Amino acid sequence: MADYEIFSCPQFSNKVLIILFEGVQNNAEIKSELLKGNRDYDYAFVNCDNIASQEQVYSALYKALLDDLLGQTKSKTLHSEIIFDLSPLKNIVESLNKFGISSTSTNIIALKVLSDSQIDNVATYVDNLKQRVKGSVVHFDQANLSRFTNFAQLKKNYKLTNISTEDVEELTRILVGLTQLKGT
Amino acid sequence: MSAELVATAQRHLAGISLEVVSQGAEAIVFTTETHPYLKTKPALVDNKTKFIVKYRPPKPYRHPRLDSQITRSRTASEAKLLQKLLLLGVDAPRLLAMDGTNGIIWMDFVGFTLEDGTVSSLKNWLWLMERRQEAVPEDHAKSIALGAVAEDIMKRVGAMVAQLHLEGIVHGDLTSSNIMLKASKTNEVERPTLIDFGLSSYSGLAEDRAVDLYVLERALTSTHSVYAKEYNGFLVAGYEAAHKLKGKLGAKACTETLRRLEDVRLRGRKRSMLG
Repeated sequence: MADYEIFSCPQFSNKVLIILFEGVQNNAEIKSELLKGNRDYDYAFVNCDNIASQEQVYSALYKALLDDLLGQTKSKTLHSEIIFDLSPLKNIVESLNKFGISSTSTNIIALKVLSDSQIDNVATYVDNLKQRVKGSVVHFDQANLSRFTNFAQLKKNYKLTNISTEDVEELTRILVGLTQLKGT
Repeated sequence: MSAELVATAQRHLAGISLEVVSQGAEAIVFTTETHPYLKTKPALVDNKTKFIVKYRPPKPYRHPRLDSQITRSRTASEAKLLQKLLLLGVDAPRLLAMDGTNGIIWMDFVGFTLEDGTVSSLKNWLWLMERRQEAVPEDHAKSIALGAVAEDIMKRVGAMVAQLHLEGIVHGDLTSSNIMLKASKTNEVERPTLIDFGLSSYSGLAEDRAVDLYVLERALTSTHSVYAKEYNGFLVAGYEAAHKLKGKLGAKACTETLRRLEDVRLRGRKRSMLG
């Protein structure tokens, strides 16, 4: 099994590289390099606490790629837009803090949007990422994501505390809807 | 005209094969076997290989700026309502994706194919029942068209409309083709679900609820005239029963709506003489 995944959908030519890391130790370092704008860290780093399923992530990627195509992105880069679309918040900085990498998040999804020409060199981006992130690469699948979900945190951040279910499918439907309706 | 609109929709949805299922004044509805962003099956939807794309094309007679605003807000309000219904636990299509700028909503496909090859809308199913009934002229009790299954389905439809009304939502376009039937595991008709919330709105007025019921009553009378009286009876019975479960307030809302329905029947859907 490959240790990374390439997301694509029929409507867009851009693809997205997805790698899931477990037990990341240098998250403070990554965060500070991100803030410095270091190009080697030009990825979207998503905190797994708030992620229930792959569909939730894919839905945000779709939304970000669509808004990018229509020229309607709200944040500075496409990578911050992905994190912004995952969050239900209106404030971009707050979204990045809660849904992006933070000092407490040790399980992280790294995402990178790649154009057609970049996709040929995908190995470079994967290798670079593995050097920068000190954690073990695990397969991006439902079983691993479920291990990392922090339901209390997720419900708090999505303001779903009145919903008792921890059923991944039920939550996914709600979260997908929230992402798609973002900004309306 | 239609072909032109299909071509525009296809431009916005490159790489996705679309098949027209219906065209209204406001939107064209397509089915497709391609999910907008998933290769695997989406969570918690009945039909995992067929999806609905609803496209609101630009209207050439409107000013372009106004047109894009109207399209955006109508698309968004329909999508928001679908999400609201999901949170309320009301059976309705699930929102998969939305493109407000181009007026596109992706939903899951509800319904299945009936044995006569038509899609399982209430209309098609009732017609199927009527045809089967005609085949047995000696059955004076009309045990097919007015049998237990038909009665149960019509009561459930009434209950579904009541559920919507109790949440302060009116559907706005209740017809027998905007009610789909879902299949049980053995592919038999099991329960109804509402579709097409394009004209839905929030309203606390008995008038709006009564008009909702009236529109459905008229739709049944005109498309299923033979048994319309009985069907409408079942419908109201289901509507009342669902309200009674909500106690005193529910019963009160129900009496108010049904009283208003009688007024509406006398004068028609439009309240003012200007409409």
